[in-house]
Amino acid sequence: MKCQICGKNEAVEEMHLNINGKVSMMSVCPECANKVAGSLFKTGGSIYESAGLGNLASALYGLAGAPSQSSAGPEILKAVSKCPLCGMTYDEFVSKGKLGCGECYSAFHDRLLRPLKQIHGTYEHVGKIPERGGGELKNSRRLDKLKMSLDKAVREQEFEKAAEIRDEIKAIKGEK
Amino acid sequence: MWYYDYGKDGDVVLSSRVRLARNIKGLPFPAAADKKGRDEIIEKCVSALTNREDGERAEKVKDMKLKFIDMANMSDVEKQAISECHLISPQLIDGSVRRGLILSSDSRVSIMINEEDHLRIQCMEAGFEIDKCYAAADLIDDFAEEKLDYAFDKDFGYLTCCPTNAGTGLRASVMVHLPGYVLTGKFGELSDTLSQLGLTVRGIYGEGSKGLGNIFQISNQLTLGMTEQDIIDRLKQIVSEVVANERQLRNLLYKNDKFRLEDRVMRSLGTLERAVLMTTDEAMKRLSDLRLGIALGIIEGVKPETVNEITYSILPANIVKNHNTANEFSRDLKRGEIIKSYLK
Ligand SMILES: [Zn+2]
Ligand SMILES: [Zn+2]
Repeated sequence: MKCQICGKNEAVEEMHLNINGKVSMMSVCPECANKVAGSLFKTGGSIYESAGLGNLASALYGLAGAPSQSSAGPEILKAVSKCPLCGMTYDEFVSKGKLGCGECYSAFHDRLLRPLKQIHGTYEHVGKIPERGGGELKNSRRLDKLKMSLDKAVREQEFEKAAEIRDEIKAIKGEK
Repeated sequence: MWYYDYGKDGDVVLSSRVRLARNIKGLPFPAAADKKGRDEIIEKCVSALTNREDGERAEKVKDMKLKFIDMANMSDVEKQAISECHLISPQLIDGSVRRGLILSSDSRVSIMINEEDHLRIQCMEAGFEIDKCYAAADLIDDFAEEKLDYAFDKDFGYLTCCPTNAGTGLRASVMVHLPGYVLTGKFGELSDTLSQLGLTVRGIYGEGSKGLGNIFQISNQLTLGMTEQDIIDRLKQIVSEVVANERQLRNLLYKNDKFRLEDRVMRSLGTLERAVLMTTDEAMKRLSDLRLGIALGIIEGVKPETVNEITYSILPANIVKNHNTANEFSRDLKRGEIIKSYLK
């Protein structure tokens, strides 16, 4: 669905608004959600930015603890962010325990860290990397390893070995 | 069938399996996809995995003789029968959405399409052979990735429908026969220890079937934060210990209570050889005694391969599929007949 404000971007946020006592729902894109939030909250923009959060829902969750703004003016009752590809919301994930697509992992990235850590004890993949789909990562992992052994070689004054490792690092960087 | 074979450490480990969960980038997972989306998933996976001559791995994969089966063209009882043999998961039986299966000619490779994830690559072997299973699954995975863009994230690894599979998407498991642990009352303890070590133990037919025939499945629980090799090595190391302990417990049981154990085993053999009506539960229980008797040398002249073959031939859906029996009574009658025919 397209954003109901700009009509251009894909709508991934569902905003439930209370404007002068009238409750309504709008599907908007993240940018427009940002603008709406900014216009409704007096300090909106700054809070939003200072929180450093990528979407409105997260910003609002972050605000949950803050004292409520004036009750007279318009307010956002609830904002639900959806995965841009499959349309799943985080609440749906919580109730089902299953995600809708690979994009969900980026859409809910920050909020998935905790459940993943609860399940696996970590959220850092160290296993296989796809051959085509992970070329960059493969090199960066190899570089990390080489840099570590370079440090070690230098520390232990194995200069010949260090030179070899340096050449290898250069070769990988040159490849790219 | 490969699962009749008696493999490495076959007195305890009946079979090994490795499963990799994979998804295609940019397409919703099967449950979130619409009909068109699910057709597209099947089409993409099938063209990436079958009838391909290109790529460096094609030659090796060709030997597996992978063939696509549209699950819609398979009858319910056929689906249930191959699910009983663990070639597909129960979820693949559900025909409410279109699902696919790519099977190797020897049934050691079973790739499920539109299960919970787009692809579930499974490789199986008789006996304790996890490395072999992983090597085959890894090859198929690389082969598929030559054509498919996988949903992959540098932090979360391979992205899966359920976050419990994210990371490596790897589930490695062994099917083990543990009468020693069960008869000495040590199974509960083992189960607790394994779960503390991050492994899961289940009955062979899921949660509700705890201990049918004293056969259990042990698998890794965690898929993220460890390399594939670490996950496999850990499972192998722990299972090796379970195998050694199981043998020790069996010997202890035989040493301490020789005649009672012999009586138990021979009674079960006698029943299997003579009984007219046989339920699945009783058959599995007696077959467990038979396996134990063979392993301890109490019974000679019955091969463990035969016991494996009986085990799979007498499961309900397999009987219905092969003998078209109408009800439970005729199934129990047929089951008695089948067992007798093998033990003659
Ligand atoms: Zn917009
Ligand atoms: Zn999604």
